[in-house]
Amino acid sequence: MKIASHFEKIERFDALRNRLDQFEDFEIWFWTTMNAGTNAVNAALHATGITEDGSWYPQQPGVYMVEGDQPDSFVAAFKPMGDVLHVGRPKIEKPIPEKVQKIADLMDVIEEWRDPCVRDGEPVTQEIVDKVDTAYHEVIALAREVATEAEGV
Amino acid sequence: MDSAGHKAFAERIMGTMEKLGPEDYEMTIEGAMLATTHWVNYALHEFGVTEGADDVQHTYFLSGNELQKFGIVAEELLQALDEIERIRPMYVRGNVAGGDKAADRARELLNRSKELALAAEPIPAP
Repeated sequence: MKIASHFEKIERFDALRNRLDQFEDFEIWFWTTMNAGTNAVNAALHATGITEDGSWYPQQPGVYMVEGDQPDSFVAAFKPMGDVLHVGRPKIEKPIPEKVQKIADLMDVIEEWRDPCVRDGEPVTQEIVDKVDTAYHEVIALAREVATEAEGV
Repeated sequence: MDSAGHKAFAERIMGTMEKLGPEDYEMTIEGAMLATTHWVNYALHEFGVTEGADDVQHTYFLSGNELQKFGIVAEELLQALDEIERIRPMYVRGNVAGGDKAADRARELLNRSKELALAAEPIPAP
């Protein structure tokens, strides 16, 4: 997906997470945060030329859904690396610029709480919410920086 | 997680989903995926087919053997979760037009999953 489309999603996800209660709506608040962050990762990877920004959508590492022959149909296909599902899925073998690596490291901070708190029932604390929220804001700010710097090249 | 935990999580997520509008179609689909997964696990525990340590996450993580075994009692539930999973690449991760309709379908599948799950009862020993 194009960089502008990633940022368009980030804007809407940001608006939604601001409408939700961090505790009462934790699962969707967290998932919105994680999805916005993943869009930031993909925007930064495209901006630095590490991944492609084509119209193919990840189903599993290495497999993308692409438009089929019939209208509104999609089929699974192998394509060059485009959007990633999560940091590390798939693993990127190319050298990663420092700021993009920082974004990836911050996403690891967020994703650490994905299964424990959303699927496995670990109690959500203010400390967890604060860690996720702080990392999220840094991720988005860094991705904007990376995209702006790339535009200036 | 035990049955009661899955039910509580599914209901909490469905409660949050009431706050989402058509413009929030991605998170409606994601909420449907998360809540349906909890309903699948609730049902499998209630049927007595799995226990807390064997929770299902995504249908595409299941082996052929697991799909066959769980499908004996929960085929429609697994199909519902699988259909939601298949919507995600285009409308959640991608920006294909029609996300609002995809979200409506995900809600429909979630509501059906809840209905099916709440009807689950322990299966008699063979």
